[in-house]
Amino acid sequence: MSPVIAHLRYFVSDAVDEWRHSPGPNLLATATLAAVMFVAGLNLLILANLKAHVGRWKNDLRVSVYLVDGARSADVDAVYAKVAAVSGVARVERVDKDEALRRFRASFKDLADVPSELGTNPLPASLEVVLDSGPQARDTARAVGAAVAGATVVEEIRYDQAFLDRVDALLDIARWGGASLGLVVLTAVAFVVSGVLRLTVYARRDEIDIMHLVGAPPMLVRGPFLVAGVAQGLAGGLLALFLVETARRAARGYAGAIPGGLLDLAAGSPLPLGPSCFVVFVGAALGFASAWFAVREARDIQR
Amino acid sequence: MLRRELPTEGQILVNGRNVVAMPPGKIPELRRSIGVVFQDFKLIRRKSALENVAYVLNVAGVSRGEQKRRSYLALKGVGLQHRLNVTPDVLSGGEQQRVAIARAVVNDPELLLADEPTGNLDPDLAVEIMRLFREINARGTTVVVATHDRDLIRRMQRRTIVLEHGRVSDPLATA
Repeated sequence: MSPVIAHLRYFVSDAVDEWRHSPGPNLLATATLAAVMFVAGLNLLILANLKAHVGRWKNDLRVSVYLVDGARSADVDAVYAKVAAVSGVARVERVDKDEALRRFRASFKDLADVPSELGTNPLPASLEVVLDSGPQARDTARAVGAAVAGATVVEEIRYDQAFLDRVDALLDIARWGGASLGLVVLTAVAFVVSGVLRLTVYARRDEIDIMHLVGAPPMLVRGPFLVAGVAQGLAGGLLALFLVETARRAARGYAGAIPGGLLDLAAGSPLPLGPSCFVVFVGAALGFASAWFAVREARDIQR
Repeated sequence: MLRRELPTEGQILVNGRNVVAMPPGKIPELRRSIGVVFQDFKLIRRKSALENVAYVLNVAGVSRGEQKRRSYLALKGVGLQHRLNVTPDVLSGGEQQRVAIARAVVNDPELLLADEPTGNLDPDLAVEIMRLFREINARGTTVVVATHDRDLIRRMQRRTIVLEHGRVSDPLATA
């Protein structure tokens, strides 16, 4: 067995031994790490769900081609044919003024009387263009716009791409802002957890002194603490994932799974694999960093 | 000599090496070449007698099988082959000191330092421990014992260096 493997084996067995003998400080450190990673995991869950929804919306774009009032049927047919011929258009639906009014009243019940009070139907007829779902939808929407550009019967073309881009940008800002803030919080937590781990180091100060006296190199003294820190971080990260998923299911169970509802938007799906691995990895890194800070004490014990 | 404390002046030579001028990175190596026995035994409480002795060999990078074999022989050498798997808490003071001696000699050091090794032991056990040191010395290891017990020094009939107020007052005296 190579010396590195032998030392790693010793670190692990010593860390396990230490857990057995002093479970209190180890559990406290693990619980602290789990609490922090739980908060981080919840944020990641919400961001991941929102991102996924925005992504789906961007892939399921619809284009509304509003027509001028009194447009001739032949001109509308020509526009219809141009739009339908664009590659990536799934179907085109004609919406006349009456249908537009019906949809308005169905969507905005509180404002249902407004058109009647106006004495006329202000809503324009339109062509509702449904695009093939997928990342190419954005280009298809542009192509539809280009196909009808200049047509005299077209009043306006609208699709929600710009809005979705803005939402996406906001999510990016939230993600990077959250990551920056998270980094600051995690650094602070590393010091807090290292304070807890110092209890372990302090409890073993006589042992560490003995290790130094018999000629143990610093790495051999610190190794078990570092391994214990990583183990605490891994355990904390996994516990946090479990708590995030439990909280998500509990919230959905309590509020009910309403498609399109706020809870569905924020926590409809479990935390994806990537962010889950991130939580566990950051937990382990945080545990290692905390242990590293804590075992600097061990260096001071050396006399 | 273990480089636990530094002198205000002068040098300390151990096997020709000036430990005062030794860089910190070399201290573990120095300590691995010296066996040490303390008055308060300094055993790791959560480890068994065998593990305490084996730790020195672990530090030296000896394989696990060899650690066990040599630790067993060292403990057998101090008469504790029947107490291998017990922790220091259940050992008597004399047994704990014998474990500490086994730990000090398991790596075959050229030098063994004993700092008040009999200070916490009754007179009969003290004689027993000194007998062990005599045997270790007979096998070729230099044994340096620091003690306040003048009777013990007289009984040992070995070279004695008397320190008074931190100074050698009689380098050649034998008690």
